[in-house]
Amino acid sequence: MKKYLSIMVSVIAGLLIIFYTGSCKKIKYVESTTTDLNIYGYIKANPSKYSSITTIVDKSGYAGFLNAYGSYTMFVPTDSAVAIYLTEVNKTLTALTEKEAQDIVKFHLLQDTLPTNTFKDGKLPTITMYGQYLVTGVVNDKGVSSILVNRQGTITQGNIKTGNGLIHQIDRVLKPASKSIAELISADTRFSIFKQALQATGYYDTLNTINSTDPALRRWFTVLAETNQALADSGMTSYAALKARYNNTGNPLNPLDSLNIYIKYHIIPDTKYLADIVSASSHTTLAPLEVLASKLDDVKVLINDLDFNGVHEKGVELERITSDISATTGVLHTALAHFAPKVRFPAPVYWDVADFPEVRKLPAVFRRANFSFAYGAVKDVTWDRTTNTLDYAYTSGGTTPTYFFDYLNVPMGNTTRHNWIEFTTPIIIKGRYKVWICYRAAKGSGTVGLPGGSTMPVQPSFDGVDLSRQFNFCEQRPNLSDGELEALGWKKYSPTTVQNMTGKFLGIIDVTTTDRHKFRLRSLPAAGTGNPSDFLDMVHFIPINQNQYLPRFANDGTLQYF
Amino acid sequence: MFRKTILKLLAVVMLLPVVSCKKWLDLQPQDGLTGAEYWKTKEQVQAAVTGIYASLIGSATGSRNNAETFFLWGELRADMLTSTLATTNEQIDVINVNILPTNSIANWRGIYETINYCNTVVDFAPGVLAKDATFTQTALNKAVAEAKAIRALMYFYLVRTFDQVPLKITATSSDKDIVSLSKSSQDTVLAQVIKDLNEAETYAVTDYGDRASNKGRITKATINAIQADVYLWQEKYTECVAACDKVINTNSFGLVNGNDPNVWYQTLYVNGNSNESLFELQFDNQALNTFYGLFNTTQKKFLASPIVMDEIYTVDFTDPLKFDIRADGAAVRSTDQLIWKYMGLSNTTSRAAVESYAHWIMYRYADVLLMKEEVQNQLGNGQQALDIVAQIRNRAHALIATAANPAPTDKVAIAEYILKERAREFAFEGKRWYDILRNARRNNYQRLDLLLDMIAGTVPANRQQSAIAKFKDKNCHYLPIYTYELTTNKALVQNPFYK
Repeated sequence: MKKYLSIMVSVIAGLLIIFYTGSCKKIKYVESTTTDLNIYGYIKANPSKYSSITTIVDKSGYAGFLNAYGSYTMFVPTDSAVAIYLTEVNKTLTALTEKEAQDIVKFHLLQDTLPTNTFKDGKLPTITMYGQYLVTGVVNDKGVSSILVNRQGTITQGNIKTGNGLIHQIDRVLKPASKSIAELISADTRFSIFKQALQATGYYDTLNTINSTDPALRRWFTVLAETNQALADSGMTSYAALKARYNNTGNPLNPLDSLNIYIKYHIIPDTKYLADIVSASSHTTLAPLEVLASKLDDVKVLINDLDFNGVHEKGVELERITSDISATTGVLHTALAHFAPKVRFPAPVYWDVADFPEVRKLPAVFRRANFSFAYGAVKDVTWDRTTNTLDYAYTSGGTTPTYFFDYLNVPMGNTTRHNWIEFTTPIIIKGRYKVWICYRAAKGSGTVGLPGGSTMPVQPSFDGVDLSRQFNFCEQRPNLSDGELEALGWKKYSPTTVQNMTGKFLGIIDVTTTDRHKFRLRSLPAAGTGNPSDFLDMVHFIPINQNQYLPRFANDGTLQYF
Repeated sequence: MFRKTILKLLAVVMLLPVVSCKKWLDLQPQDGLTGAEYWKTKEQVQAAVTGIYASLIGSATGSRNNAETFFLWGELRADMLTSTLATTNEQIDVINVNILPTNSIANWRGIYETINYCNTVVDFAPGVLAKDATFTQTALNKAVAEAKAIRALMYFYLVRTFDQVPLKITATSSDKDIVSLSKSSQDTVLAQVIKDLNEAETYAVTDYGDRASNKGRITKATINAIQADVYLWQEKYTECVAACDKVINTNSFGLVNGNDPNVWYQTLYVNGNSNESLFELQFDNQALNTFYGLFNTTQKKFLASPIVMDEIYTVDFTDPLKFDIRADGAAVRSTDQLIWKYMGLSNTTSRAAVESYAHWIMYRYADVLLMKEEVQNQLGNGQQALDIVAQIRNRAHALIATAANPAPTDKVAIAEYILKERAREFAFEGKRWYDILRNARRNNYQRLDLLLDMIAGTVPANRQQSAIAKFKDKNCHYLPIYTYELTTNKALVQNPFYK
């Protein structure tokens, strides 16, 4: 009886198990990693808004890759947007050819994910698959601001996340630029004189031809065109007047002709929208070694607005509403005044390195006390060790009669001191200069003028190119006449007879562009850890044909011309 | 037979636990109190009120510190901060007017937590009256007054930041209290704010008997100051003047003497709870603020903008002994642009990380004076406004370069002058953005240009035009509702600019 019972129990239990497992429904395995729709899936799933663009994508044959892995940004026009577009081009959805459909899709598609907070005033960082940049901005219409794409459509719903990228819904179909820069200029009567100058110098064709079908290899241009009014304001009311003013060789096609250079100075070999122009302080042009300086003054974009040797040169404004015009070959801006490369003659720069904006802001320090600036606190000076400081020093003592009694202590060395320190110079006009370093010789240990003690040879460089001579803050100048000193590469830059006040010749440089440049000091391998007392006072850039040792710079700030 | 008996017995035994389990299932948490157990004594009411203040200086649930929120909302969109290499992308997006609903700076959670603590006191404290005979009606009124005043202040912050917000004035104490509330208009919320403040004013305490409580808890004067601020925002000028006068006529507040810059700085900001202060969040060495990480470590998120020294305070280049005491060594350390107001132990010595407990000043006497004069100017009493501004400037030894001499009848110029003076007086005290916005929106956005000029200078050059165009849309002056709130509360609709 007991035995049967146990058998029966196990049989029932076994049956139960079989029933349970047997009655299980077929398990539905999830085979995809996500249920998020991809770009194509998303627009297909919302036919109430996107049926037309879905048809266009289908026709283009791009549905496959828009539904596959990747990272894209697509500007998706709504049905009403497509309807407006079709009326404009006088076509029907079914009549669009495959090529036309492809162009539409390609112009709305970028191979990157760009949420709206990455948009700036100007071109998007990535080019469309069509091969033209899209421009973004914000417009305010009756108190409502929205993002305007390519000056054509506004984003009505942004940043829709899909599996393979972002969708921005727009209320117009975007249309690529169809005209070249040259065509834009000739279509605008305001530019008629500038256009003639372009044609005469041969640059009209340069700006008119798309020089490569591959957008990655294409050379783009940015033209700052001057209006007739701008030229008239400078006294040139016709092309003849412009030609008379600049054409010095008789042949405007000659690359050395001034009219040719004038035109080249208005062309930047890159696509630079206004936002790009204000993001950098200078831009190279087609004119050899001539740069355009740019800056943002409140809301105005100004070209060549400069302070030169204490004189302010008024800049030329680029008119915002008629600038940033996209073209097949680049972008066109409108300049509201006449500008041309300035002929400047090299002028000496007596650069007091201990006078910079950050120290001037501290009236209790500037020419009154010592102060150490932390790394990053001084815009135009940088150095290798972020834990080191820039030491501004002031001394009223007679043994350090530096210019205005102040100097920078820049201890150079290989272990904890500055391995290198780099300064941005004031603007130097292009030309050929002799470079002098002016310092008060000192030694951390030992005596100046005697062997032994601290030593640290320093290699100066200008724009990354080493100057021909090295120097050592521990060395003082010999006691000789000015002529003898200059012949040996020294000078007496201070009126004092103190021999420590040393100017040393570093080499001759060719300054190629009228701009601010980089001046760097680098410590060279030497015995010991370097010199803690490197008292840098001034750096002189003096045109080679000018007097090299005058004026002298006195500790009370006066200049001595004998 | 025998087996049957055993089976029956077994069955009975198995039933036993089911029958006897009633008590076992009646589980109470062993590490805390439930609502039903709480709200029985006056001490518990007091603890709940203290909890409201505690929530202002640190969240129990890990939300962002409210003082930090007040700082970010009040300064980040204005012009006195500059970013560093460590500034987060979200913070930079706010500075650049690129705020998306996913930006957590728009998360209002910490503020609503405080509101819920207030709601809890307002809802449950009255029930204690019946349970604790020593709990008086007066004590109840005082507790409810504190809760309502803070609730009003929080909603005032919310509407100034988001324009429209859900108005929840009942406690959320259990799951069934969680409701999906839609947004109320700014007017509706402000009407509730004024109602709360007026009710609180009747019963609020004037003097708690000790200075820390007088400055750290809601007093009648604080309520009047909040009222003044709300009325000023609503452009209800006579009400604002009346509220300011209530504070001024107590004769218990004054301006801290500024003749010694260091003593002034230490009295007002380092030690806190000065004679000038009305209400401060009382951080101390057990409840540190979060400002050390924001302003002073190598990973500091913000520095003072260069315009703070160059344009707002200016520097006298010829005489280092002439300086605005509110500038170098108070608001900023001008040598490296550090935001000094919360970082200094004196004009020159810095706090250590463990000493980062400078109070957050909500309202102080100078604020009340300047609020009143902002209104006096609108009411046509320009000369009086200029006199008080001069008083504030003299206390601070403001430089002549920042002085203006508008005609007493020139409302626009005086309003602008007061706005600039407020920037100097309340630098980094979380007021700047609301000050500019309030002045810009006065008389139906008559001075929108104030905002446009400001933003033109704060965003990078290559985003300037977009930022200006965005700011022309007044919906852009308010933050978006944070995505998380939108997904959890389906009744909420995103603010118009951010759709």
